[in-house]
Amino acid sequence: MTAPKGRNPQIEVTPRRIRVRLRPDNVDQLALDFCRVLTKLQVRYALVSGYVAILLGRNRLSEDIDLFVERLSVRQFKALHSALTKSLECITPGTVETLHGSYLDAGAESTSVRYARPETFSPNVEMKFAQKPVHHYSLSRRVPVDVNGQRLYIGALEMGIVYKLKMGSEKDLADARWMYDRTRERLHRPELNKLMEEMDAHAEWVT
Amino acid sequence: MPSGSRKAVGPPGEPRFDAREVEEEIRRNREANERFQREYSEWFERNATRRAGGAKRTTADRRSRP
Repeated sequence: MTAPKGRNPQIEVTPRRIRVRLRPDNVDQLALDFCRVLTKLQVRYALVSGYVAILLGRNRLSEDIDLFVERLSVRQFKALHSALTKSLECITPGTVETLHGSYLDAGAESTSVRYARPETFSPNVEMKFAQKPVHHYSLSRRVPVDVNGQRLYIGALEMGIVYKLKMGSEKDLADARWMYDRTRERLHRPELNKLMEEMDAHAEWVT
Repeated sequence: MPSGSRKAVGPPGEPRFDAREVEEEIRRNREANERFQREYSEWFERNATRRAGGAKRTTADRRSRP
């Protein structure tokens, strides 16, 4: 009997680059397709949270792909939304203007807009505008990752680890540890320690 | 589409992040995710039942989404 083919992720992390080779599952393919559109339209973005750990080889299920994009004008968002909805469905209800003004760019109440394959709601991409200092930090220090020859960007690794520690569930702590262990060669230790102090985050394995 | 400008994280010497603000954001995100999962699971269950037999989803279905 032949063993089922899984993602079989091969991760290579050096101080100069991160390279991932895998057989994309439906979550990976959604991320790859979504990011291809962002790249085509020159929208600055960073993948963050659990999918980053999964992309770096952690073997767990995920129902959403979180990412930040730079703040876009209504006109820019319309162009992006139009390009995305050629192959995906926006599962957040409302007009383009509502999605922009009442969800993405609603000041302190800003929240995400979600896109999924037609007729489904999971997995989905949860897209937000970078609005707060932690978001801008992740975006401005994003890290390129070569995934099967396609360049994706993940948020600042140090912030990703600290944010996961702050989230604090068993799954989040395991994600943080995974990211830390897989990217040791690239982490800026003084910055990681500084972030942990500033964000009041703790982990005995961060040395 | 032109890229927007990068926003500075903060002036040197100033605290860059507010741990409480981050904790509040995490709490709000968690609630929003739970609400999303609950509402969409219910919505899909209702519409899967309604579409039993292979009927295509209608515009009315889409408009009734959470």
